[in-house]
Amino acid sequence: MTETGHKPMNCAEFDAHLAEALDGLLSPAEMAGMVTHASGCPLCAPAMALAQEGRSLLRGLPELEPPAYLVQKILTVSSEVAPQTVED
Amino acid sequence: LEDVQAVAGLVRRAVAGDAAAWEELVRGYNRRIYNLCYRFTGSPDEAEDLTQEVFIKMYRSLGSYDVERGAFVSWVTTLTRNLLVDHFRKSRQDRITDSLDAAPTQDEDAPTPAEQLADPKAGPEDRVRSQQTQQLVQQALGKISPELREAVILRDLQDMDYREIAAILKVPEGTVKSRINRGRTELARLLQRTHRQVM
Repeated sequence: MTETGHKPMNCAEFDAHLAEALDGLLSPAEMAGMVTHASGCPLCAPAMALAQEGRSLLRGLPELEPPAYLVQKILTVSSEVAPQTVED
Repeated sequence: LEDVQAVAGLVRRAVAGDAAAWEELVRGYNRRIYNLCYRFTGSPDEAEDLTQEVFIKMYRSLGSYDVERGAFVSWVTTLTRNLLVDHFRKSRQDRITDSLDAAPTQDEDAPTPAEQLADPKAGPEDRVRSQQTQQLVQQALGKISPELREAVILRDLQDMDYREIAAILKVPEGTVKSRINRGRTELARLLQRTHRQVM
């Protein structure tokens, strides 16, 4: 992210850095710029809240256990084919 | 994080016909591939078939994996993603899109989907509700476009970084971030709409 100094962030810049902001990948100064913009922007504040909610929902999904027989099934099927040494 | 050299060694042994090395690779990656396929398709049966297909394809092309060009996990994920895209294209015409309207009902005091998934002190009833929420999230995931779906799955469920995702999807990092944003937003919007409908 480019440091903008004291220049206020616009909506396009806010949008471009929203994923990084929610993923905690911005510096404190960059994050402060995001928060400042959101606090005064009627479009970006709800956009941030919505993206944050979507992120939480996705990350709340558990990792699933594959069927117990799957590994054996794969090994059986793959034993019937030969690995190739080169493939594009 | 995978040990790049150790995995490269396993791959070399598997290519040379070492069954134990191949089994180790299958055991090491089947869970990740199954989850990627399940979250993309929303179907345990399709996920199982596709996981199997990925491994057959992987076995046949193991010799083309080049450790210098990136981590094995990225190579495997690219292979899986390409197969999922092919599968999506083939099946798009007869895909059945389940309606979120048919989602389980919730009572008026029900917390929002996000609150349900986030609650660490959930009791038995909450857990049932949480399972329903997970189903709703999965259904919503199936409703967003495949481009957005794959981006959020790779980022939020497979925990890959933007650079890795950009390499897998063959798009610039800026596009990856934009798709992740839009995917998260569309998913939340769909779930909010569902929540309002059942109130």
